Amino acid sequence: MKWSDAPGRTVVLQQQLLRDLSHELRTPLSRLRVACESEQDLEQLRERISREVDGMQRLVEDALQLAWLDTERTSLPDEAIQVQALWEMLTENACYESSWPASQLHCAVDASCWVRGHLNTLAQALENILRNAIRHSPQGGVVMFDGRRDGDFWHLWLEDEGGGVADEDLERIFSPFIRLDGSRPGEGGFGLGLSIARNAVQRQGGRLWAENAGRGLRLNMLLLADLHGDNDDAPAPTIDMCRPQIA
Amino acid sequence: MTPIAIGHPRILSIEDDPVLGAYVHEHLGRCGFQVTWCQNGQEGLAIARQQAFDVVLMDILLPGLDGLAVLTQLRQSHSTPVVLMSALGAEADRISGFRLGADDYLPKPFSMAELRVRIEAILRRVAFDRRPVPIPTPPATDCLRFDDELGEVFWGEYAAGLTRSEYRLLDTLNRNDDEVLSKAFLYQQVLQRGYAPHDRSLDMHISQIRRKLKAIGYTEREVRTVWGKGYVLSAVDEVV
Repeated sequence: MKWSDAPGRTVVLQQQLLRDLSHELRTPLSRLRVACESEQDLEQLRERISREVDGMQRLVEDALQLAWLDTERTSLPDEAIQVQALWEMLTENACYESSWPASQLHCAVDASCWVRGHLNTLAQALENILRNAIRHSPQGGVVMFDGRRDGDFWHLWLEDEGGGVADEDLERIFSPFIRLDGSRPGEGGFGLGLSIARNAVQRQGGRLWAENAGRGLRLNMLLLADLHGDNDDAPAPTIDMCRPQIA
Repeated sequence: MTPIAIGHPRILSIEDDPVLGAYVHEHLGRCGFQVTWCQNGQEGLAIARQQAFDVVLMDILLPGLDGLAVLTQLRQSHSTPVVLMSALGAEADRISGFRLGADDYLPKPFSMAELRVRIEAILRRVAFDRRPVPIPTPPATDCLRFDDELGEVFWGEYAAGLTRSEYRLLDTLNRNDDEVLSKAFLYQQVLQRGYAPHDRSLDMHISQIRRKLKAIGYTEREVRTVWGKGYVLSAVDEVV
């Protein structure tokens, strides 16, 4: 799904997006208006405003990020990334955020797995997929991360035990603002996480797709393998270095 | 983080929004900073050239002269640390690279606590840079040996195989043993750039340091995450 694409084909989709976005933004605004007019207790009002502002901020940031990812066309600078180190960094955060025990997050990818990518966007993609898997896991469920080398690529997958989705929804879950009703446990979020993840993976020349496997949903990622690994940490060629640079 | 021991740091705040400007002025004043507030780019540039400041806070969209132009002109003669503030967001920044020349960039909306952490990180880095001679690495209490020339740490005969950034990071944490260092400061001090929430380089270096220390069997101390505050190198069972 693209925010900007060949004219005509995507007009309907863009209108759908605008409708969804208007709805998502106006809902917390109307709740705030009601709270301002009716809430008597100052402490409760403050607490409520703070909660709504947090939610709106997340929504605005996610929506803008998706739009930026989708409209920007220049290639991202890439570097060698060790997937196991990335996984450890992300799971530490995820366990803290969700109070999940680390023992329910398994990583079978070994230290030899290095990919080429843009660290921040790849981290964001994997983080969103991981959050999604945790959110849709049953009590005590295990999330498994595994992969294997596939020619010039690493094929990585993340599998949950949340029961999966209907086959016809396997592609739809990547559309913005899609939240499936159904038997999968878990809710919350704006339905932007997987759209951002797919855009982020595609922006670095990879692929992201879903399938039903085992006891839940499996998210597959194809990422360009790095041949040399941890040989240098010359400053990553990101353009957001803030010290003056000589052009 | 240790309070900055140089009296009342002078802050110039160039912000045209009356509500935010007044709030920043009042809040930083209460935190012990001497704040000068002006609402116009041209005027701000003139003040920044005439008087000495420890940090300049500046909005990007300003009447008169925009923040980036002020920054460019200020940089021709002054190296005063500059923190840019803007509602253009982290994504726009990443794409256009507009913070070139600034010491840090704070996307709006931000909390006063976050603003203060950023200012203190810069003040601390500047104080660190100004030390007359580098302080030698404190003797390791537990035999993790830092070799500055090789940029490597040793545990017994085993070398951890750190990269340059990882070594600088671990060395900085080691020199501030048991003190929680903010991400904003570690970005300033080790990676020499501002901190952005979507920037995961520092976290990734920490992840690698942990792996490498574990691989050589070093478990006496570890780099621990103090949520909402930063990182600390401390004994495993120690309460921070």
